[in-house]
Amino acid sequence: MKSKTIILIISSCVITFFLSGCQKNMHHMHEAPAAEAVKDPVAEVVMKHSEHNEKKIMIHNPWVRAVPPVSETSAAYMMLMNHGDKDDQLLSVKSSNAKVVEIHNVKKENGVMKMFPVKFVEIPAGKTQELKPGGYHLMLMKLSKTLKVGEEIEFMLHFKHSGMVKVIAPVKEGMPMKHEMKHD
Amino acid sequence: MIHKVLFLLVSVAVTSIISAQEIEGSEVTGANLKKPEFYENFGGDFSLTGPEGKTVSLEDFRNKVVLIYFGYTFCPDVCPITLSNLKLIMLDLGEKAEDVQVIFISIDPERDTYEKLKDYVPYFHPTFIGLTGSEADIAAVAKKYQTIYLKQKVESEAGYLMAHTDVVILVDQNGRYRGRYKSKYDLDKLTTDIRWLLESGS
Repeated sequence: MKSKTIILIISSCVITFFLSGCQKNMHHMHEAPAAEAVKDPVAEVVMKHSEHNEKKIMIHNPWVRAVPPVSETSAAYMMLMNHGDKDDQLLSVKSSNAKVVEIHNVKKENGVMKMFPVKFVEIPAGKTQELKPGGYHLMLMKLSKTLKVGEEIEFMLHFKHSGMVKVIAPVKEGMPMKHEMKHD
Repeated sequence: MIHKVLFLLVSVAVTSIISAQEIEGSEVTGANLKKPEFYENFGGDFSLTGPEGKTVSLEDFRNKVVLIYFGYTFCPDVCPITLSNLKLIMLDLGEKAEDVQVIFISIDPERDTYEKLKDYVPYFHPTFIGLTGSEADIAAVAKKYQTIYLKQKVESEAGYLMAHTDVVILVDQNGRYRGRYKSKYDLDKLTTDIRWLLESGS
């Protein structure tokens, strides 16, 4: 039990380190124009205006799990990057290929895997939230057609602050998990 | 609530029994395997309903290494991940995969009929078979194989979801329980042990 706790602490440190690394990179990208804006009031206004229209959420590596034709469910995964300075939340998702899309998470309790719906996924300012196998994922139910490898599925993601964001995700075979970072 | 507490207590108890035994066990040289006697109170023969509605027994696979996984087809994440990983092991084994049988036992007989399993399970690998049965029969097999599962009502279109142990169980060519492997992290160990069993004969 103790060793499990230690592993948890270590893995949180590793994840925090990784995320703070990502955050630094993102800041780096936005730092230069922001500094100029402070010097020049006109530029600042332009900056604010463009910020207002810009989507703060960027989505990377979306994919949907290919499942047997008889399957009633599938899952979609992606990385949600929040480039803004305000925390955001993924509230709901719609897709033309699944009548029902819910946000689910998976937790392990005493060796038992438990999947459950959540009301939203928090994406802290400047951070990345990953929807990934064995964690947060979009649970697709009542599929309108078979999900075959190579096809593309369209999603409309609704964020609390960033509004609607369209995502096109390819259908892929389940990715091997055995070389993933061991943070269980 | 009482159910939840009971479930937690049972799972803690089972987990601690298993981990306590893992520390004391003597290992077979050349693999992560324990001697068969180590697990003599676990596992054993069983019969459930297989493809075409016919009875399938563990005994039918004597002389094969058997991998058992308890899951359900409505599961969009951990179950297909495990089945995909088991497919990778089969591909990795090459010709030797002929002497390995993967059995997927449904812990959700309400949704998983044998017809459904027949369409679902072989998608991952043509030799994989899915078994189902009455709730009582499945519960009896799960108990033998130290697997816990629980039906959970959730606020979801799904109505209910199943919480379940996520391990692959290794059974040798004589039908003896030889080990349990976390389906996500212990796959290399599992592959090593399958190879060892295939080479040593049991």
